[in-house]
Amino acid sequence: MWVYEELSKTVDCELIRSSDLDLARRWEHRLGDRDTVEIELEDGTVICGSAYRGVLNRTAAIPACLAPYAVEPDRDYAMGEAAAFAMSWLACLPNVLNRPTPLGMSGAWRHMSDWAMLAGAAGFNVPDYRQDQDDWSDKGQRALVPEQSRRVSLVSFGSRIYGAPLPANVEQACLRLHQLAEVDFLGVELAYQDASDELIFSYATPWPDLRIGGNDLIADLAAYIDELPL
Amino acid sequence: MILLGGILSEPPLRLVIDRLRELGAEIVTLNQRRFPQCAVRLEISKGRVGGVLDVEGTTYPLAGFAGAYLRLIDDLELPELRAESEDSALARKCRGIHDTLLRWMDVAPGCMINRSSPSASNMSKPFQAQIVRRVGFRIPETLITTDPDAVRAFRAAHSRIIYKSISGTRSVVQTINAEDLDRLDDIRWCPTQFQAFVEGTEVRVHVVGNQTFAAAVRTEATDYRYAVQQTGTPAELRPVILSDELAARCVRLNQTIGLEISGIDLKVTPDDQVYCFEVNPSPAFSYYEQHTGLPIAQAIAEHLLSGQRSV
Repeated sequence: MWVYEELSKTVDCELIRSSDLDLARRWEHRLGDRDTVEIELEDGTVICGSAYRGVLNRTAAIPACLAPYAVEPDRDYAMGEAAAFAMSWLACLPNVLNRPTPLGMSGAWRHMSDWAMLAGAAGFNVPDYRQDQDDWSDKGQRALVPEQSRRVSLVSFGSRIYGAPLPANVEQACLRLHQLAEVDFLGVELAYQDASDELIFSYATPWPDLRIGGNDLIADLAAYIDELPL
Repeated sequence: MILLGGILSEPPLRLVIDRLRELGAEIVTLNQRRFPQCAVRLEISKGRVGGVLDVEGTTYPLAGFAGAYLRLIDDLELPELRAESEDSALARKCRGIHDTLLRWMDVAPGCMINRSSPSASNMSKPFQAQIVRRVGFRIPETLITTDPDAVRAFRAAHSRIIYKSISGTRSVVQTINAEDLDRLDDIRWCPTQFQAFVEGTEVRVHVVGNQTFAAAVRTEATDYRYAVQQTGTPAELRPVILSDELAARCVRLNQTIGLEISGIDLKVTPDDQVYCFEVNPSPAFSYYEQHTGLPIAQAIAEHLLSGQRSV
């Protein structure tokens, strides 16, 4: 919502909420010689994918159509169909930022074990990760440092890091992690190790709070959109 | 050391175990139904993957496994959990073993068949179709809609259309008929996938690393897996040799998705166009091996022993 409010001051853009899509009257998505998506909302507005130059995808919940209202034996199947459908039509929109992946509707929601490996490969100092059959359930999305740790939250987009000035080696690690994560927007949380000034990796997400990027991010996003083909 | 897990009597797993034993490989089998006698711990430290696996009283270091082939069924379907609630201690332990093993496979070096993240592309057939097309295969004209009129127009534009699930849930591919048209209004409730029927020869290609094993399927059925139900006659399978270019394209598709092995469903039209319908990350290859003699299990066993990840 914040990005929409700020960006719409300089860029012609529309906000489409998942809740608008849930109650859409008609869906038509084609793959073949031309990929298209056309959605008629409840108020009669028709959204045509090809009418947009680009899409900032922040889909968190699956636009479920009417699947949640399916009768009990069919509900899981209908929800699975709705999710599979959303992945496809979101992927074929033009110039999607944070494309859907099998691991998440707006970029890969990786398990923390996966982030730990990627962050190590990117050059971060990474706390040890450990999981077993008894403590697995909350490990996937939990930060690698204790809650009370002093932390820094960052956003990366393009080849730039927003949020706080960083030592050169940490900034390079952030940019490498961004590349390895295969998303357009990446949120990275770092923490100060003990009482020292050394920053270590804590958490990453394809769904960052974009307000961290402030006006600089909005300006760079507007410039990116300006470069997109008409 | 190679780890094999799942329901050990299941034919694909059984065949690979047999081939590995013939090759003299050191293997560890994990019977999915005996999970109460198992424990697993995953550790990642300084970029190295470690931890241990306990199987029925014996402890193995995870770093000692050069490869793993797990064909795990949904743990909620295990008979041992039938009487358990989803959050019982036993059910949670079972889930924890499965989750930890899958996380290990995702980050471990070596030949892991198959890692769970790339396997997930199969959860959306049209999403996967977009990847398939980028690798150079044709995909059938597809309409997914809640609009019955759009389906009628699509049917009018193509001589024959089929419908099938959008998700990875297995469904019987059916040709749309008059009875289906009478209930077409039902699709307003849930987007439904329709495709132009493609005439041609069905070819199932199993990719194992850089190797391909192809079988042509002869049948009059819309969905050859259900040929007996649809036509009264079973499908006939025979091994075929792919052109070098097509074999390379199948390998490239397997690698693009991030898989070590897959089952790719193709159809070759009379004018030699190659359509790809689906890439299955957990192929039940034994059916094809038994009907054609193609040495798929042998190739999987050798691929596991190589310890190399091909992606």
